[in-house]
Amino acid sequence: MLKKTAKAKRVCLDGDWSMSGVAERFSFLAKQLNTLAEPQPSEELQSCEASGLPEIDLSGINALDACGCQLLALFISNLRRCGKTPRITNIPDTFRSKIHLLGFDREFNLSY
Amino acid sequence: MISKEFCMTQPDLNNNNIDLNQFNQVFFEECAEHLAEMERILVSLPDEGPDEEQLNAIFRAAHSIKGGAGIFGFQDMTVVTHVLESLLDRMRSHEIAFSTIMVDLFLEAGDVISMQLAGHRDGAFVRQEAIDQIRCKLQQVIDAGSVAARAEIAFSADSAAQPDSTAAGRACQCYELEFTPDPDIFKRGVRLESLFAELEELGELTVTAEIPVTPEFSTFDPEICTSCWQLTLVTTASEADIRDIFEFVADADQLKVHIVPENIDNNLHSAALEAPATAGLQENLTQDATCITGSDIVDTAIGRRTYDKNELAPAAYGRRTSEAESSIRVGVTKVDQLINQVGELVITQLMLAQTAASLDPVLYENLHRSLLQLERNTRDLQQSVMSMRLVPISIVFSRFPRMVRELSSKLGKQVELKTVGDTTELDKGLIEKITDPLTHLVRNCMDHALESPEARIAAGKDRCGMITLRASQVGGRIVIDVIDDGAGLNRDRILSKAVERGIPVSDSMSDEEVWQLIFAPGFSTAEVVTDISGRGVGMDVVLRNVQSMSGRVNISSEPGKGTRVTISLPLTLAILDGLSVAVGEEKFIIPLNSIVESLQPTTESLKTVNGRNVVHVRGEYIPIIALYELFNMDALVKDPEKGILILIDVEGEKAALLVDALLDEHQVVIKSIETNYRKVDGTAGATILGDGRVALILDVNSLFQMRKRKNNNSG
Repeated sequence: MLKKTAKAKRVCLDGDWSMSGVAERFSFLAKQLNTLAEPQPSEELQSCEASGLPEIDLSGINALDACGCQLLALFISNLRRCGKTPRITNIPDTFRSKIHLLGFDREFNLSY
Repeated sequence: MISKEFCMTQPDLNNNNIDLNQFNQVFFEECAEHLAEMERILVSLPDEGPDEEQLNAIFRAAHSIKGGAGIFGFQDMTVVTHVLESLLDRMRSHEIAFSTIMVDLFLEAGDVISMQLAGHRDGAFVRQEAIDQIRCKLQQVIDAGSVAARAEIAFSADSAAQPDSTAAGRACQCYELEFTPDPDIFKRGVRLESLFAELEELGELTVTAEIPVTPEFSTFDPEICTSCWQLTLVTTASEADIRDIFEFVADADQLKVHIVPENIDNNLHSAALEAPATAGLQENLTQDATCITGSDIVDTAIGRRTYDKNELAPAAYGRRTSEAESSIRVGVTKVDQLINQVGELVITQLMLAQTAASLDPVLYENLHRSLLQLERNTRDLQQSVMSMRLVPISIVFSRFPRMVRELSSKLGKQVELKTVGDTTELDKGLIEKITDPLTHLVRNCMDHALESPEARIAAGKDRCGMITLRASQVGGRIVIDVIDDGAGLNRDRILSKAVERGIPVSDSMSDEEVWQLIFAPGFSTAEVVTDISGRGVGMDVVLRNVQSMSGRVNISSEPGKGTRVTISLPLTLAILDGLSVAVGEEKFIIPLNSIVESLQPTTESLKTVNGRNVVHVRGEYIPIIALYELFNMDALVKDPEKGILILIDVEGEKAALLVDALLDEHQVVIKSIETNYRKVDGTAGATILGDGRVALILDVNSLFQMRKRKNNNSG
């Protein structure tokens, strides 16, 4: 699920990100946090900076609720704490509106 | 939007490895009870409307259904109950006055909720349009009532001093909400998106989620809610409406509602200042922003949650009577299992008794005494356990007031329904089966038996007809009477209809025999077939259903005075009084209630008619059914003259069963032979006798059919 590129690290999320699935996804996210929070070599850091931010791809998720949103928001918040502000990409439309309704746009750094 | 959001949602709690079905079952049962209670009250309301206690009780039922549905994740069921509850709440607070049309509306709402319940419980089809329609109708009443209330306030002399608390009379208000839910809100399966969607329906909503403290990720429990929400809502709805949405989700201290002051100045401020009922609110309104906390609510008695906190209040949510507190809810399967096990114990006790019977009573005196004690204890235990399956017949009777009410209106008749002996208890299995026959009988009374008000007055009767449902226990049986004070059965018309249908009749037939003719399939004396009755497809079904419960139906009628249909049922289907008989090496049990007599025929009484053996008993020729022939067995006695004939009678059909010998009278525990082996024609089950052998219990009706088939095949 984790794809490393020369320029940026990309986390592709899939499956159930609702209350019924978060327990299973949690350990995966914890691992990704450790990986993404590792200090980068200076040349790679520069290219990361040039290319932008770590990317969290939501195209594969099939369920999302307030519980899942909270977990993702915490994941992002912990990344920020390590100086890595991620970018959320490929949000399916249905989940984009749900994130908005649940008020997590700011946590996810989404704009409309 | 809300209907899509709520459409037949399934509980979201399945992830906790808890078998939710058992909890759902409890909800389904409680919901059905609340609906029944609501209906019972609604149909019994006087014309002037409900008194305070009745209104509270209806509200409590709706409130409990909504609460349960929310807790168990059946969000779609909260849609109708929410609007219903809102309307009832406004009626409780005298914002909306009662009108008779509301009874029909509430009954309709109950039907829709029942439909939703059946959808979840049984997978039955749910008509979404019915849900939308009733929701819309209820909302219209709320809106109309609100407008009326506002008009009333406007016309009152001191209207300026009254706060207009209705949505229709309120300008847009801006509310700021701080929502800090329970940490276990996710685990409870609460869907916040549904909650916010409902809020969004009230007006313009902005939501911002915040995680006040970012916990260490590695130690974080993802199922715990650490978020809080800031919401801004611009709406004409009242604060109570907003709080209603959070009712089962947030305690009062978990939801703070601030009213943005500009809007107060524009609209509510002046009215609210002078309102005595909102004196507590006044101080807050003068501040920059009004913050109504949980404690304010308690003080000012606003909203339902406060009311619910007082468990002693008449309509408090969750209030339980002392009776309810002293009972527990147990699944029927568990009770049946217990009954079955006690049945086994009875059989074991019988085996012991039979073995001990061969032992010297002097030498084994103590053993015999102990076995007698065991027998008494076992019987007591069996009776106690059997009583657990007994439920009051009021469960069935309670459905009729509404039916009578609706049919009276449809038929233009005035009918009063009286129920007697509502607490009479009957086996749960019988209760389920007796409902349809009773329904049919009451419909018949309404449609045919009771006359129109004009005809009744002309006959010197009260214009209002009377139907009485009476239940009582007589010996080991339950007797249910359906009595009407209508025109009574018309003997001549029944006889002429019988002739038309080719049923053999004679003028010398007794009234009882004539009344039995109406049980013939397709028999109807109704001149007009209505959608209520008159097609003649009912009474034979009534009889068949009652007979399938080992019951009997009798009719008595008097011209001009009315008719009484009496149904007699056994107390339970699990135990049967029977006579054991021997045929060859086998033993059979014949239900005592079908036995007329037993006799040893004389040579003169035995005849042959069309090649079939019959016995002549008191002027009647009764066909002989040889059990050994029917079951293809060897028998010690094949000549009727040397055996015993047992005369059986089921609803007028008679036969004489040929057996080798009569053995004993027993109270036997019925075991399903189908469950353990397969269906055996001519039997209603099996039992285990004291010697450990299995004896088949004969189904007398089925024996008649077997004999007819055999005769047809041979003839």
